[in-house]
Amino acid sequence: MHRYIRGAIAVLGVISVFVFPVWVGIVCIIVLALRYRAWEAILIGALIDLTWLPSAGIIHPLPLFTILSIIIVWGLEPLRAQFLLK
Amino acid sequence: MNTGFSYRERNAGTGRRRLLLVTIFVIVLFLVDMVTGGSIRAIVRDANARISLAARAIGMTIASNGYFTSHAALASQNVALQARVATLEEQIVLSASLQQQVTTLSEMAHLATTEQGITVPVASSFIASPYGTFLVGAGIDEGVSLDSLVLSGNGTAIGTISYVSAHTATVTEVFAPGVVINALLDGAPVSVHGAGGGNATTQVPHGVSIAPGDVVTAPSLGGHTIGIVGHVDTDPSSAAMQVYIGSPVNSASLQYVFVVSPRT
Repeated sequence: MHRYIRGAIAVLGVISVFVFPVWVGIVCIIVLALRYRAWEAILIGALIDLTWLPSAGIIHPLPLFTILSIIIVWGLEPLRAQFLLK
Repeated sequence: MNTGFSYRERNAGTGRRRLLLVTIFVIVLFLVDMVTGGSIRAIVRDANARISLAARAIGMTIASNGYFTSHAALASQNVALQARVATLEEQIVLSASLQQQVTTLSEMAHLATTEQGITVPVASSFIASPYGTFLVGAGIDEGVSLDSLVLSGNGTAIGTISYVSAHTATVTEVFAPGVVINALLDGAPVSVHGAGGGNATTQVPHGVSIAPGDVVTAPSLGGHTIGIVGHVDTDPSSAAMQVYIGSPVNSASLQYVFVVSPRT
């Protein structure tokens, strides 16, 4: 059941990158990262940047959503380890 | 005895390793993309543009073949009449849709007489981008080049080409978040700060005559209109008036845009 929920949220996150406002993707990233060790959350963040970043500079513009998703997923690791996964 | 515990620990370790691998993979992906000048994002954007254009074509086909309206008609008592009415309504909708496209393309054709460039289809959603960008279904192979000006059918500047691949290009909107553009507001030079969603703000000193409806133009964008004043906050306690500007173009209704070729 959990696998289906996780998959459904991930699919919604991927679709939202192309169709829905960005907050839908962010909600998916946060929900996935809160409950699971979700590598999908990082891919959603990367997909947002790869699809919408204005240009392909080395430093500017920064891929903010990739960085944000990595921070969220790894930043929530202690919380997940403490309360959810064990 | 401790099977459950050891299983969870092993599973947790696997999950963490997988997460680490994906993190490294994404970082490498971005490095490769940056070093190769955006080859990865070109693939993603081409796929996005193709899917968006295909989805639009499918939507128009569904609208024109009357599949859904036929179902509605079956539910009614007067099947034949309702189906006929539905068919006629579809034709009206389709006709209106085609009329809208013809009008847009006519405007583009008129624009093409004054500006040199090409008309290209919009190939993505306007609301999905957090960076104030959208995709068009034409790229280097079709003659689109970097920094080209993008106009709506009535000649309003809506953005510039910020990234271009073989068959798609990324347009950064004039009022994208963080974009600052030098403009003229009632003859007064101002710096307009983009806020995204077709909105922007600027500040002008008290005493300058500004009213809602005033046109904002950008000399750096060929003198084209970029926005219209929506509201002026004339708080006497602040040093300057806060002016809120909106784009006159309804982005959601845009199907085609005109990409101006750089003058050689």
